[in-house]
Amino acid sequence: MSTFVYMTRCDGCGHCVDICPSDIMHIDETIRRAVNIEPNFCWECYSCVKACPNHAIDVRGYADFAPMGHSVRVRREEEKGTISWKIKFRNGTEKNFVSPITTKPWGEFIPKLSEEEKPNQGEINSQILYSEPKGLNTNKDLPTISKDSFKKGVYY
Amino acid sequence: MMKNSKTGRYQREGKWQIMIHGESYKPIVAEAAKKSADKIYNRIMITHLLIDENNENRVGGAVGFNMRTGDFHIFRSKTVIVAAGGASHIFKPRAVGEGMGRTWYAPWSNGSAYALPIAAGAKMTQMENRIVLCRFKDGYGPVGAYFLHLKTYTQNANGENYEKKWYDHTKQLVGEYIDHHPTPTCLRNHAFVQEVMAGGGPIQMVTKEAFQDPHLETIGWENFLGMTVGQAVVWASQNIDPKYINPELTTSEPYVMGSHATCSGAWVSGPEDLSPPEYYWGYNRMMTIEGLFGAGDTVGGSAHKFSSGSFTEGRLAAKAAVKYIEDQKAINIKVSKKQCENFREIIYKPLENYTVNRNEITGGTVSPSYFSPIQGLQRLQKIMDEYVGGISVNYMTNENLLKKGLELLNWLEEDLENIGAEDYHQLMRAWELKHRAITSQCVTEHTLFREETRWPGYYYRGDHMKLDDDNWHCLTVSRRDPKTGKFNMEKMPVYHIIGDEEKKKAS
Amino acid sequence: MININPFSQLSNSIPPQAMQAFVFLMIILVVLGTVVDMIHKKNVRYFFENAKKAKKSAKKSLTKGEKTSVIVKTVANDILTTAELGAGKRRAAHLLGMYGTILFWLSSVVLIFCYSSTNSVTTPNLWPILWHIGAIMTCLGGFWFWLFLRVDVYSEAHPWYRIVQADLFVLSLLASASFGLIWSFCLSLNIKGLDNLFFILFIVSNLVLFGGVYWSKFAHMFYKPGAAIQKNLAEADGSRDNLPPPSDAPEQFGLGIKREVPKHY
Repeated sequence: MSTFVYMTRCDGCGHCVDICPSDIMHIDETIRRAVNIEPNFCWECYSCVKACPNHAIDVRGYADFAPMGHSVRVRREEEKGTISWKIKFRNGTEKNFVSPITTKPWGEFIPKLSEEEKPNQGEINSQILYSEPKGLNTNKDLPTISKDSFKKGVYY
Repeated sequence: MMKNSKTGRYQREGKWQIMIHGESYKPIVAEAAKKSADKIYNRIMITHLLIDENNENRVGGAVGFNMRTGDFHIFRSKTVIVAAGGASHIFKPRAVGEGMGRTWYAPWSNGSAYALPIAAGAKMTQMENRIVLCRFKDGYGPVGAYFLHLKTYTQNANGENYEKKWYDHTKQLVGEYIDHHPTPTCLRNHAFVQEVMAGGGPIQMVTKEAFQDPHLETIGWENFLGMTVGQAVVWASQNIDPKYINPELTTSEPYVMGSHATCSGAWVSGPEDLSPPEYYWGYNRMMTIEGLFGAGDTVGGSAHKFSSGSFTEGRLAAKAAVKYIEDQKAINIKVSKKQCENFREIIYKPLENYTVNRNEITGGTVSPSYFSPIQGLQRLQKIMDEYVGGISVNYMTNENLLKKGLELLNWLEEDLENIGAEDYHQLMRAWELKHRAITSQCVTEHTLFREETRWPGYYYRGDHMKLDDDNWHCLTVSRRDPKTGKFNMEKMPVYHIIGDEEKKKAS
Repeated sequence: MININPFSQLSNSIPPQAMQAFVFLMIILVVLGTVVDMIHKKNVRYFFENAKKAKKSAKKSLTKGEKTSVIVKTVANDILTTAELGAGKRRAAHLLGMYGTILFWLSSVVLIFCYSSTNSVTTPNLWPILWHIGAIMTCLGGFWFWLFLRVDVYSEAHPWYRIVQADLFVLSLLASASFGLIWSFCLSLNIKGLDNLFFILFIVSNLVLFGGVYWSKFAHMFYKPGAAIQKNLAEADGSRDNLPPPSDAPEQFGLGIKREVPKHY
């Protein structure tokens, strides 16, 4: 499958160009709207489809194995923290799903590491990472193995 | 990730996995990254590592270019952490034409994780250990949650448990490993491949039972919609409703990576408190080049990291890098202007190749003097597929094929000097290809070195079909000499964390 | 200068009938360009076929009243205020340019047809002022857009001076408004020679603007409203272009991706 852009819906805002991990969403030079310039490098990750504020991007199953007439469309509502899907089969069967994005409110609860105290030499030398073990919701020391318990394998 | 309401810790699925639920992976991770970094450079393709001119074995930064503006970027630094992606698209994918991008591992995983350290002369390990995935056909939708959560199972076209059928055969090849629990991924692949070759296909996932429960049906669909929407598209287009039809499975083309069920990657130092002497040279996750660290796909010999493990490895590497700098290991690094300018010329050469030689022809894509990144990529994929054990030969190779493959790869390497790029986007594709090509050479050298078939189902050495614990129960390590381009191979010991008795108890 | 009618001064050298004929010629060029566009690209046929398809998958059939209300709402919201561009600079610039252009063209027609001969009634102050304000608004909105807001420039890092085919419409519109203003300015200061030069440039830019419909984005003013109406009708009849309906959940997660301008390179 590859993405394509509906002429009537795209207003060329550039969100898809910004998010595409494959760098294939670009702005067309004749109509100044988004276009997938390299469908064979599209992973159908749906990043652009979900990011488009105008629902202008859709997907048509890859030409080499997907018969036509299907539709898998999405409405991702970040403010509500939900994502809704509508799947239409070639034979007309429909399936609808609404699920949570499963995240916390955008921009909140992200630790500001630069405001934390600088680790001391002991902490830098230890194997413990930032916020361990407390961040893992335990007060016990994390389990370790003694070096001597290693059994050397067969080799050479 | 979910919280376990009883313990207050991460919710586990199965024995050791912590499942990631939901979607929006990229925006969520990007947001955290943006908040915690001082400065972020985006859309920069890093092409080479800079090397200290005072110490040939110490890193001095990295160079690359911006694929939008075309600007040349020089990053001078005391340490570098390579956390790039593994390698998809080095073997010919099953999908062709427009669908070429539908590989299991994303097409933007272009092997930079390996190409950067290999080119700089870092040691690599287990690069022959490519991975083949058993997934839903065409879309490569994940099967893990289907097995663990929905309790679905596989069968052949006649409704038989084919894995049982191939037990004795597999035992002859690999011995007691077939009795391990859970069954090693490659051995399950092996049964799949054998069954298909014996005419038992298509192999199906039995979903008809589980999907009668509407709750499980929703889980099954949302599992795809959260991470592999393409599978939902395949099913919608082919009228496959798993409630009424058992969907087909397939084995994918091979990929090279260090974070899933295989362990290809750089040979790095282990942590101070655990590592035996062969694994330890001072800083956790530091490669054999001083100041050069890795995380995720880059790091070899530590499989099953997946997402959260790769993140954690990044934290380990970052911490060790800070310690490295605090220990005054990064003083007096010399990176001259000449070294940077030299790289600038190399980086933009594909643009030059195209612009100059485009004058030779009236138009079209056929030129006697340059070739495009996609043309080069397909040439690479054909070599790897046919000579190094891809899909079209059922993952089979041998010494003769590998030697021929290496010869073809060397010619490709020479020809890559003539690759042409018409814009910065294509320049990125050109460098992606160069990274894939050098990764492929390393993979082929390793495959040639290990004279056994340790992972039937991932690949087969037809001239050494059996697993050989007497000679090859070890890690393979390579180093490419940056001056000559020659690979040097060696063996390294395997230490077992768990003794045989405990292992038996566990399985 | 703002209350001077440049067309009445022009009538000293060019008869009003010629000016009126020029306006007719421009209208004919637009009609011709659009018709050729429609015949060649068959875009109107696509619209109708698409509307038929949408009707087939409609969940409910709309009454005439419902349809009218959707169309009225679309005109008021999507077309008159270009709501699709969201809140922000892009919408402000577009509105400025759009209303400026409408004022500029409307007042040009009024000035040329009613007040262009010297011996007729004197021009009321209103129309020349509207003409100048329209041209100034067009320039403000247009240059703001062209210099700072073009998506190929800010998303793709193209240099600002790189001109592509998509610029044909906006640049010829800007040229026409700017040259018109300068011409009027020269007339008001009575700078001989220069006024003729800019008048000629004004004419040429109008020819390019109205004659280039087939190649430029000119026709988007006709198609965009049609597309907006179709989109809102599909929303109202439940077919929604196969999109799922909005979910029933409170807005408690804050803005995600939309908090930031899409420019991360």
